[in-house]
Amino acid sequence: MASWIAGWMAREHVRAARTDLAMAVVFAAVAVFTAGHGSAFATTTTINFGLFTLLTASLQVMLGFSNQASLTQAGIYGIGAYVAVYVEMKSGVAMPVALLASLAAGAVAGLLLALPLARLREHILAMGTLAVQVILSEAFIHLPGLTGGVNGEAVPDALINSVPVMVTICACAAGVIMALNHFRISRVGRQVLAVKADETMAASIGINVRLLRLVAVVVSFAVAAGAGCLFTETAGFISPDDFTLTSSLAVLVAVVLGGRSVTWGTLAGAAAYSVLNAETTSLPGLSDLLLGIMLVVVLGYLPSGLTGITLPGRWRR
Amino acid sequence: MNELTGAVSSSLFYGTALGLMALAFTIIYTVSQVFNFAVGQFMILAALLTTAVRFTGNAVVNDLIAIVLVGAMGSATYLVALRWPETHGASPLTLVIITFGIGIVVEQVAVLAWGSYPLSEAPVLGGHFVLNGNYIPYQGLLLIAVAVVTVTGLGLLQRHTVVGKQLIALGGNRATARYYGINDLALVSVAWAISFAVLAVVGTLYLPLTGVAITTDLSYGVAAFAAAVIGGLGNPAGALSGGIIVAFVTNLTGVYVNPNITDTLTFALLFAFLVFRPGGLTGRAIELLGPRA
Repeated sequence: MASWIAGWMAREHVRAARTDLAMAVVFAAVAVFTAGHGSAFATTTTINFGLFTLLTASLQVMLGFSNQASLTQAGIYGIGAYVAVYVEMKSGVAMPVALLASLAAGAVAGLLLALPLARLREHILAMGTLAVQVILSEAFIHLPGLTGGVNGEAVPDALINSVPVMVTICACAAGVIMALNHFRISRVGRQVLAVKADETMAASIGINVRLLRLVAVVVSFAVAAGAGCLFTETAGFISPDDFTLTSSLAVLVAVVLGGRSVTWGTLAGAAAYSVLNAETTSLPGLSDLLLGIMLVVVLGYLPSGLTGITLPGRWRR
Repeated sequence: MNELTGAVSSSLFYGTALGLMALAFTIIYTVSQVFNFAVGQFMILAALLTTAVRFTGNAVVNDLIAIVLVGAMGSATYLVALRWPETHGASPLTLVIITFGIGIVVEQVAVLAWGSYPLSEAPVLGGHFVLNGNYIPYQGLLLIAVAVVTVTGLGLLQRHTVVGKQLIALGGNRATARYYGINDLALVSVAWAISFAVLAVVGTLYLPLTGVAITTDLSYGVAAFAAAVIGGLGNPAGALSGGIIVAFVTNLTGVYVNPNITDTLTFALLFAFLVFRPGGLTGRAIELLGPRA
């Protein structure tokens, strides 16, 4: 029995490594193609795709692993961005230090919010996080001392459309998806998935449900805030418009669009949304219209998402 | 005194509008446990139909046509976008996100059709009187009167007609209701139609006071959601009082404290209610809390 389980685990790890390799190849191909293309449009599109992948992955930690829906991801992304700009401007520290500060800010926000949100489930949790998102959006606008207000904040020394930054962001996105991939088959990952499947059952076999849900929120928010820091490095300018409820909805859309697979779903959802967005930049209304139609059609009629219809069984995870 | 009179009267009008929207929210929630986040869009769509399309020369007739049309859209929305997922095991969260999607589609179609610039809508009842130096429009009083009639009428409908009782039964337990021969497809569609007609009433009667802009849809929608939760989901009188509370909090802090913190305060209130008193003020128990681990 034990050897059977060990053998099965080993097979799981081999499969996980295969997925890692595939992810690395996908992101490397995207980065190489973009660099080869060389146009500012291509670089911007890939940067947005990478950042959006990070945000989608951050929500995947909450929704995909522990079934906690969040409409706050864009707000936390904003916190990460503003913290990074503030730290870099006030103390002139290097970018890695700013990144650490953003990650810490996201984790602290996660700790503070997870405690009251622990009482909520399912769609009510989504509504609670919606309230938090609205409050954060208002705070970004009405605290001009910290955020520059409606006019936003210029980012000193930002590298706009730079290829190295694009490569870094792609590497981060690939790395985070790989981390999710390994987390999924780790001991804690399996516990979190058990909580998702049935909380009462999970609690009855000795899993600390409350702690795991809290950890999922903290990790998720830290990743989103880290993505916010990376965003400032390429933006040159950040404003409350970048961190609205609509952006949070877009992240949620990407996760549900991607479907049940934690790894390929994240990639597919983020890619589908980014491509749609890039193709319709000249017609912003059209991209929103398509987003709405996709939401209704995919969620209503293809509940398992894009990966649910296109991936053969063994890839669905 | 001047300032207070102005703040109170505008809070009453805004609160009545939010209360009716929360009522529309609650009607759907009661029969199908769906949070409909497209309320703002359809409310404004009704106003756009009367201002931009302007079917006839008569404002009252236009409003009635808009109310019937938007009501029909309610049934259509349910049948096209939500019936199938709802009966095939979609989670409540999925249904909520679908309504967000419907709202986005309506908003973008409205922008494509009529642009995003604010329009002004002709009131049914022109004119105003002056109280403590404030203009009080008759249209606002009409809105309050219609709201009272609507809430009382729906309450009577619910308690004293077969359809009303069947709707309550459906909300209680849909499977059992069906075993007793209730046609859930028809009745839930009717509930969606009633809900959307209430939204159209708000759009046609309240928006002449403020101007019609489709881009304000989401803020109306989330404010109405806050009102519905604070008043107690599933409770018509609670919905109206929730709307009034949200409007007073918003307007009075806007006038006397700081206009920048009004939304923050409203949503902090919503957050506090969701976490600490999910049944709302009226305390009607609803299943918001998951199992305690």
